[in-house]
Amino acid sequence: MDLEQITIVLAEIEAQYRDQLTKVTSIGELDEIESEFVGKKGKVAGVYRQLGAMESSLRPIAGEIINRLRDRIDMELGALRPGYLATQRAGVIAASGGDPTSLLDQNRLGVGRAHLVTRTRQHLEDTFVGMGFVVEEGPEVESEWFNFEALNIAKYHPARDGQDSFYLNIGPEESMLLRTHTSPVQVRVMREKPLPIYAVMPGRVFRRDTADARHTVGFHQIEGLVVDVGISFGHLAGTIEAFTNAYFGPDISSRLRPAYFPFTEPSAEFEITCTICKGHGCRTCSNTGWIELGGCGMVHPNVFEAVGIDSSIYSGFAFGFGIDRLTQMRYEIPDMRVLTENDIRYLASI
Amino acid sequence: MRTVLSWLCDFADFYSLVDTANPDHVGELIVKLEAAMNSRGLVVEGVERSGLGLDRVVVAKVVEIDAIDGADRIRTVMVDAGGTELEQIVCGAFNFSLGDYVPLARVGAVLPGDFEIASRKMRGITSNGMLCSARELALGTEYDGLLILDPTSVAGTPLIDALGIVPDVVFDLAIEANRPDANCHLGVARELATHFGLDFTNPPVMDLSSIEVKAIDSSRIRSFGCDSLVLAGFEGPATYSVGDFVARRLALAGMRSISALVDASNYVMLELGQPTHPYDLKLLENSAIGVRDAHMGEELVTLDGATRKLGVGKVSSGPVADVVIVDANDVVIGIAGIMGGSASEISPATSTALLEVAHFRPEFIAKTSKRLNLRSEASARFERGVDPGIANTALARFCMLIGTAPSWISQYEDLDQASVVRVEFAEIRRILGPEVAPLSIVQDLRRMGFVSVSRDEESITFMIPSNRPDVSTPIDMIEEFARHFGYSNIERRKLLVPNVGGLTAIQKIRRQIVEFSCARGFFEAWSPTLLAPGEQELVGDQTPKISVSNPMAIDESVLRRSLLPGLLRSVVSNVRRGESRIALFEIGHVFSLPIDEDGFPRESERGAWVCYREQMPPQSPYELLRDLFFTFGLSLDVPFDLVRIADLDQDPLAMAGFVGLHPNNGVALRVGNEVVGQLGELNPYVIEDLMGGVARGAITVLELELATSLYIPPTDRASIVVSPYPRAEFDLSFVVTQETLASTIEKITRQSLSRYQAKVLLIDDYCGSGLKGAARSLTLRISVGSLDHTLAEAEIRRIRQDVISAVGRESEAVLRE
Repeated sequence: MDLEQITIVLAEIEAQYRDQLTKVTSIGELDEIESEFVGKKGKVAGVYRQLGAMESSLRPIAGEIINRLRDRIDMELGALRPGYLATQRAGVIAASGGDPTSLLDQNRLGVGRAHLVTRTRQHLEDTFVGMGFVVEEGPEVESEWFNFEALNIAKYHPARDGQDSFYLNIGPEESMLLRTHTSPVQVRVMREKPLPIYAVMPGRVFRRDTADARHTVGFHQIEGLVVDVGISFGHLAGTIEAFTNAYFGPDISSRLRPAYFPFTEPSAEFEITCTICKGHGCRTCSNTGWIELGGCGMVHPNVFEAVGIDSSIYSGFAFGFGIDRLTQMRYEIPDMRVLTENDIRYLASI
Repeated sequence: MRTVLSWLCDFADFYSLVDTANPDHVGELIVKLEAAMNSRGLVVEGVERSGLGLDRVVVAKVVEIDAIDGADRIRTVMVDAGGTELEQIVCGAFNFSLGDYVPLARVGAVLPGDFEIASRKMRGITSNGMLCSARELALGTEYDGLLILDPTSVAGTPLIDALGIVPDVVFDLAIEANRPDANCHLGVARELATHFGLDFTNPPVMDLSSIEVKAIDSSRIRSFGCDSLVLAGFEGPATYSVGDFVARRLALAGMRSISALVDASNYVMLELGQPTHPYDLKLLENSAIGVRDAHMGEELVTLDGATRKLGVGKVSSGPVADVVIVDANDVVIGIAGIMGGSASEISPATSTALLEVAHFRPEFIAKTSKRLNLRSEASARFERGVDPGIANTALARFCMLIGTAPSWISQYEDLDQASVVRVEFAEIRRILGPEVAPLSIVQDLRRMGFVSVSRDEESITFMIPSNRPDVSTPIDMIEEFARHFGYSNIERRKLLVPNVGGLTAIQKIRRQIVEFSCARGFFEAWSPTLLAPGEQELVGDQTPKISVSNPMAIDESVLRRSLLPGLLRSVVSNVRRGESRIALFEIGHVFSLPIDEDGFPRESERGAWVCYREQMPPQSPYELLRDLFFTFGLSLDVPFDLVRIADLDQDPLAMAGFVGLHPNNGVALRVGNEVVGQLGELNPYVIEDLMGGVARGAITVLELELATSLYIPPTDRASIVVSPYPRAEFDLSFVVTQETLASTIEKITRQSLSRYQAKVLLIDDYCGSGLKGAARSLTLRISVGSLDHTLAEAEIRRIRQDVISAVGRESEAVLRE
């Protein structure tokens, strides 16, 4: 075989290739051509195998000619491949399908929600943490000493009437009860923790109230306690205002008016700008522009004495209010009892 | 306390605060007084205006009623309003008939609510005024028709005369426990006069100086509860009367008019804060009364007709007897400071009377009033502390009101001396704030009765007035300074917190549990801490409970030992509402016996998850537990261990408050011998008992003691190095009994592979043909790798053999060939 013959054979092969290429419609057919002409056992490879019969000095030239054809075919097919591949994929995709919104309900896991009171409590905790406070906790069953005595509430003090307690049938009569406020946690913190104290104490408390739209038998309070050197009523007023702005927003402010609590003196009731009418006057605030939020005051010297803190060196203030009431305000809940019903339709609704 | 404006004005000229030429000067005064009262801690809970805006409202008699052409909602009414001619009114009410007397607001009247009446034309007919309903006149809430007046009324009479109305304002005040002095009009007026700097006048009293005052024999006073007693005899005989204003003001203050003597007594109480009690002298043996402690078992029929059992009450310091008033024969005729007996009650026919003006120690009255659950206007005042220095003024005022001087007066007094309190200026500034200037307030304090008896550079000393028994220490005086300085005048200071705020590790974990549970589809519930009796028994807890000794309702009387009953209650109510899928969780405190040496029961925080599915199997609580543990980086292998409930001693389990599960399809989570949690399927018979035939599905439960399970703060650990070598994977099947827990076999397998980086997955739990009897086959897929080399065939065989031996050694499982 000489070079001329090789050239003729290659020209024939190329002509066949060109002819077949015009008939290609899919990537599969392209693959077939590739294999037929430039595959390992393809026609071009067949020409290679014939080189053995050729004079050795001509072989490199012949090889070069064959390679050129092979490279040309490779390149052409390579350039055509992406188009045919895309067409093929588009066809497969078009022919397949599904409905991602067809979720069989019984397999659904879904997500739940935290209780509204938990959400309010966490928001309050976060606000106070941001102000530098820590969060302290205590037991729900308390002794009469922690709940009343240490807080300067004597046995027949009128204050005990107002918070009629659930006493328990353990120990001596009226010695143990469900705490009526979170204030016993203050007593525990003051007895156990190092000074100074900057803490808030959220938790569940219990009073002998008939459940109605505004009351539940158990409810939740949060109290704050600050004990340090140099703490004055001015700091109390400033802290209440700072909290009010941080929690309710800059357009809500606070004011204090005289009140009475056995465990603080001077004591105050604190009111905030009505969050409904922003102070203009509405039904919620009885047209006063203010709503009552909670109680506060300077820690009473008798309380300091009960917990062993020297009230001539240290002073402090405490404040407290209802978490559930804030929840009621925030979510505009007409009847508090919905909070304990655990109706999942309601729990899922907000 | 209902406080009457006209009454306050007896003591100070409050109308001088407003311009009386202003048509709504009363409204203006109300706003001023209300703000002052609130800022002084006398909290205004309501304001009522009565009899205002009735100036041009008269009584009118209906003489003629005519329909108006083309109108079916209004009619023409001709009324006689006392003039020479009938007056024509167009009216939309239909509840009256000819001859009725109704109120007519004449043209020019300005009704309550600033509603001005003008002459109007309706359907071409002029209406010269308006016929009014009770609500339009602020005399009631009725608005469905006209206010129909007494048929004996006289046409043309001003309505306020016809109804006996005097315009007035009532402030409903909440008086705090530390303001006993403000439980009367005198006290409120004094506070306000001080606030506004107005002159203050005491009420007029009768001069009784000519009447000799005899001493009461101290043997008549045999109770520590009484430290002052003034008695006055009105031996007339006479008929007694008081001015019309007495009944009118009593009515506004919320008290019924009864008789002149009783009304005068009540008036003095509301005015001066001193309760007094009148007796019919004829009904009293020997005209004498005394005070003593009650004997055990004594009884008295009180004025309200109820029989009261008297005796000795208990307080922490020991027994304390009720204090009673007795007659000359030592028979009980009244409960001191609370309520008199019906036997010696004043009647309209009473012609001779005895007035008792006493002072009782607050704690005695409080205790008896609480024990008898009997509260009166008198007891409310004695409990908080009546001014012991006002008895003689009260008697003289009573005499003034009835216009009669007593025939005799006798008196006993054993009062504590007035206390003196010294307060340092530096202390006032330390507690209130550095800008508070104490000396600027001394003048106001003097007006309130706090007389400074001495003063130096550093301090001032006050004599405490007798109407302020609540003030006895420097901090009490500092509170007085604060109130008179004005809370709002104390400068607000920024708190500079030296500490770093934050949540504790446990508080953070609690929040993560909430987030995790919500992401898993559970809604957070709030179930009651107090359960109904038998509610926990229904779930299988038969052990003794802690209960409330004074419950409000029997359904809220037992402390929960587990979160399960409360959550199940919510599951049941949701099922009854037709829900087919319920997933609830709760984090809360539970309580159990025994009590510790300080008397406290065991109290701990738990987390509980319940899941109900009507059609599908509910969520696997084991998966939930594993994922929770994984979330907090805890290992279920150490130190925890899972044991089938059926294999445990039931009593300790119940005492720990873990009950209710199917014993075979439930497991306990233990640390050593202590059970810290349980999970599994709720006993189907518990569901049946709770719901009757309602529930068709199953309920799964996970309940954990948080302190001993999830509340384990994560420790900082070095991260592991991941093996770069290929892992070997092989399956092992073990034949086990029905009682064997798959988790046990997994755990043994994992522990036997602890030297390698291994993963153990249960991939099959088979039960059926090819297995003998009730046996099961558990297939584990084990994948294992080494950190430093590719495991060789021989090594993998050895590992495989090690696992098989470990499982064989530590359980009854055998390799399935």
